[in-house]
Amino acid sequence: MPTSRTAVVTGLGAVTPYGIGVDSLWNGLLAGRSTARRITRFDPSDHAVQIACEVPGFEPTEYLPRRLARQLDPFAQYALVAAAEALGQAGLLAEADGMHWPANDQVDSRRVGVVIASGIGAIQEATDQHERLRTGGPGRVRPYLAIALPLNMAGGQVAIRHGLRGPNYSVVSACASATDAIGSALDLIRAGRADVVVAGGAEAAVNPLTIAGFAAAGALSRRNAEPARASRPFDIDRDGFVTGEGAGVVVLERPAHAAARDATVLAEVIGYGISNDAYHPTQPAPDGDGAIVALRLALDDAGLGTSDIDHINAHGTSTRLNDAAETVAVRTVFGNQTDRLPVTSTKSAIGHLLGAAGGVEAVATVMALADGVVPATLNLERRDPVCDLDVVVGEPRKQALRTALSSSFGFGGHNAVLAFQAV
Amino acid sequence: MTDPSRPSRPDPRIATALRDLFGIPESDLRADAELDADLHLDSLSVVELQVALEESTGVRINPEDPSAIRTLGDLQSVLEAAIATGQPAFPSLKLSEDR
Repeated sequence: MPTSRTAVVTGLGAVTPYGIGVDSLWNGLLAGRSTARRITRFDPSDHAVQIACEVPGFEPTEYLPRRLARQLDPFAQYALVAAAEALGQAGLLAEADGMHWPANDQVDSRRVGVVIASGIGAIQEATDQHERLRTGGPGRVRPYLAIALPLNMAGGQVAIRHGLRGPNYSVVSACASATDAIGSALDLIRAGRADVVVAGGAEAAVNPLTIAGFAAAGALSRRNAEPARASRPFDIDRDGFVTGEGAGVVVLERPAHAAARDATVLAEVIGYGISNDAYHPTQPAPDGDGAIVALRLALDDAGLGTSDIDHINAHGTSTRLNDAAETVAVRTVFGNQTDRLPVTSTKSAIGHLLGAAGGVEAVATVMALADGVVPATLNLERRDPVCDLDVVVGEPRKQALRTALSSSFGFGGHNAVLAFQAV
Repeated sequence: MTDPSRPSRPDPRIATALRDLFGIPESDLRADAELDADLHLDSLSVVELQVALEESTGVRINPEDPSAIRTLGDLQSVLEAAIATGQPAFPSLKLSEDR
């Protein structure tokens, strides 16, 4: 049962409002292009919130066999597309027979796991089939609901498609879900339960029910007339987050396992901190308490001090409460190191992907370390005095980066932080 | 149950459903093609197909013995019988035993 304290990243995959693939995500973030638009998934005319960051022009059968695509809610379709990209980059897709393992004799498929999270899951399937039940009766509900609805089916179908026979489950912690999925993957490798874990999150919640509910809760920006300016983390005029959709997946691997098969290592995951505010269902603890615990645990777990961290990919949702509380937490943990610490919010460009956010942000963090550049946060025009972090604005900031944190906080008081290291 | 004298061209509603649902090309649709072995339709997929056909025809497809439907020709006979009977669609369906 070989174990390791750390895991290396050998593959990345992304489906985001920029389109399909890590390249489109990273190029979009460096270009600083907003993806927020008027909603097209449904007619939003009656809704208080009419904007979102949708995955553009996604036709699942371009990427997945039709039969498989039919069995999946869009959230899981995104997961499968991102997972295939990540496995491909990791050199773990068999070429000979398409998609099935064993890709090579250096990998034991029983020791390849999958932990793919979602915050909400198959909301489109649920609402579509509920409508059929209401209008046509029970006989109109399709049997594939039984496999499209469960939240674990993203990871289950990834395993079935690629023949990955190791540990497989989902985790759910609202907007911290994908970060917790990657943390759980690190734990699996540390425990010796797996050599490789495909981990991340997927979400497809640009749906009238979700948008109406999150809007009613006051969580969403209502800047309908100016969608590109709506997601504005740390800005004094921020008024809520913009819902995004997509998936972000990483392939984590035991370092010696990756070395033995000469895999290209993109970065290393060296620490994971997890906590709960135990305070309020939606509001963060105003003193940043739970986030402080998670940040400190991630540092301790990685064996790093505050002076060792070079960059934070913030949760940075663009809600009034998160950005203020997150600032308090970062300032409390990093003290006088805070002012030299470049911070960015990926959500300023692609919105808040909820349970997938931490997956896409992990991809962005790995790319930042690999390329030595921090993408800018969009729309930070007038900094809120209570958000006095060194948020990168304007152009991407080129800077040698050795280590970075990626933070995710979720409804329910969930806090999760990952520590990454460049290679 | 398959009548070998049947024309090999499948009912267009079946052909459309198989293409749209599962990506099965019309060239694969011989009357003696087995739903399971040749078209790779598991029990869940057969019910999915049944729901789609009930929707496109508006009639209930409720064979006396569903397990007797083994080939595409069998399915076509059942569909034609259902259309002849003309029972309205969407009473409760037999549930799949797949887990």
